[in-house]
Amino acid sequence: MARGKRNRFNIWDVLIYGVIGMLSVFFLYPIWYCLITSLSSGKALLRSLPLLWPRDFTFEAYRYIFTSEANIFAYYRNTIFYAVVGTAISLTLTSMMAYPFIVKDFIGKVFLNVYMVITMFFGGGLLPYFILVSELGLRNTIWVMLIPGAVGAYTVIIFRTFFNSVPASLREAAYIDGAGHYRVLAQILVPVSKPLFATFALFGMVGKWNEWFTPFLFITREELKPIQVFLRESLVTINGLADQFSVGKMAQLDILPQNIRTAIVIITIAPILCVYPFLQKYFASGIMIGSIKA
Amino acid sequence: MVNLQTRGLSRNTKRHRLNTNLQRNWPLYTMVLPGFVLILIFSYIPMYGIVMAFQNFKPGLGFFHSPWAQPWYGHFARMFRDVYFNRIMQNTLLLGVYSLLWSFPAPILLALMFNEIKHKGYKRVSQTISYMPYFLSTVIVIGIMKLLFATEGPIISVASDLGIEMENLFMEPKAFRSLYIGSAIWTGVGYNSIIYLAAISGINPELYEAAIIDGGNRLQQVWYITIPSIMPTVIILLIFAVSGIVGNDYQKILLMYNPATYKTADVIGTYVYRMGISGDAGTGGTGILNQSYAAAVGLFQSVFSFVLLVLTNQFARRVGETSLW
Repeated sequence: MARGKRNRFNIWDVLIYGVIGMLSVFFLYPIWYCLITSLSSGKALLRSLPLLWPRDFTFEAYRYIFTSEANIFAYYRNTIFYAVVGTAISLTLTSMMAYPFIVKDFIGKVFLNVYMVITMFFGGGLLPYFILVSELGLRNTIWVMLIPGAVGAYTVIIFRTFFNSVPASLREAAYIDGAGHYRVLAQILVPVSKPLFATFALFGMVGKWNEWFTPFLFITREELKPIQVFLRESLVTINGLADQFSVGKMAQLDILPQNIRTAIVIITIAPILCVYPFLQKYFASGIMIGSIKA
Repeated sequence: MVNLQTRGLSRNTKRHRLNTNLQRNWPLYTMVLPGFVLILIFSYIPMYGIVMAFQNFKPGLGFFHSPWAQPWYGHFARMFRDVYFNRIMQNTLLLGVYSLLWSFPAPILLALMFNEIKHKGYKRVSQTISYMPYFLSTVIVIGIMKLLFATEGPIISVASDLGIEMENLFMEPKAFRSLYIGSAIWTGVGYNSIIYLAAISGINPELYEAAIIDGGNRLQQVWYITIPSIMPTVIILLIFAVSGIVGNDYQKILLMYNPATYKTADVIGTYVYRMGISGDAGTGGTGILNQSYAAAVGLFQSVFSFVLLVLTNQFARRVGETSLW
């Protein structure tokens, strides 16, 4: 009887299903708004704002962005380069730093561990970092996007824990066959740690994709800017859009600044939204990997 | 005599062993080297760079050769006299406390609600939707918000249809904290609920069965079983959250604020940025740049938040028997 009572759909359930449904709308609507605005004509926006469906359906804003002077694909290309190369460098150096910790004969584990953990609690703060990066001459180079955060203590520790869980007998068999350490890392540990690499590659790429503060501080040369800097200029600053796009041309094509802004939002988040449902389980596992340590 | 000989011998074998170890294992040291050097350069040199807070830093001389401030605590003394100091302290603390009060319980509530949903498909889809904003960049989130709250945006237009007069909220000092916290909840609440859901899924189902037999209703099950069971997770995350009170997301604020909202939006982090990097420290662009002073204010903030971490941890250990270390 108790069981029957538990399975019945009562007023309590209606309430919770309703609240969760409304929350889903709350999470999705801002993006939906961008989509419908970007697909409406400028005249329709001036008449009255579309709230549920596009009004005067048109691709004009997208067509204009793709053919205009502002070469959004150049920023996109830079972002992809920073995301892919930066993540590859980071994963390589991180696994190289983590591997020696699991080798018995490696001297200096304790020292290295302390050396890394200190950086998790103390840092220099914004100004010393800013001055250092500038003094090293990294401003307006691709290196500032690839190198400074490549090895972090926290990630090394997670890699080390993961490598430690790989049976030592696998490595020892390889040592006896004469394999060196680099080979054991590349041909034994990396292949068996695929889930680890998949999760961190994903998080690394998303992190680099979304990074805006580093390029905002250090990159002023147009041809090196990633998409986020372009976004900041065209979405967040007041005059940025007019610097990138021709206002006269927009008026001629019946496109309002909101059309352009919302279309830019959609163009930038489309890749993430397209892959997101498929990779969601890795994303969700990321937070759990993080919490093992905590 | 005999004793001495054996000791010498063992020292020799030790050295010998060390040599063969190095011969065999030198690649390990080359593996560690790049990471070691990167951490040295990008973490340890900036830590040394804190000395600039005690210097009169000159860009041409660097942290190693700049002259010392006279007196050495000069920049700190100036900080307490700064007309903006009260404002940035108050804004930092209030924003931190309000964020904690709203953003901390939100994912716990959401996780409890998700847990009450028995329909698998509905649960999976709504959870997937709730994590999604987490993967959008701060620039996009603020960009979308500015579009939603713009004068020609949907929120003001719907409000005016309903007869409510509204200004652009991004120009309104009173609205800043709500916008900051609201956007943080929009982006983070779903993703942060995952950790609580994991804690909930670890609860022994027999506890619920026993509660049902005792006649406990669903609200009582949540109150007497679910919440106490996830308390250790809640406390650990609360320690982090409390120690983060002083460390607001100043990068997000840089995207959100403007001189019209400095009154509530300007925090330590943004002040440090303007004072030390962009050079428009006052309300207008006065072009003052004082990197040593900015570093001193930044150091003050770091020390403050470190002390807060230690204190909350101490408190949690005494009261809740849970701690980070």
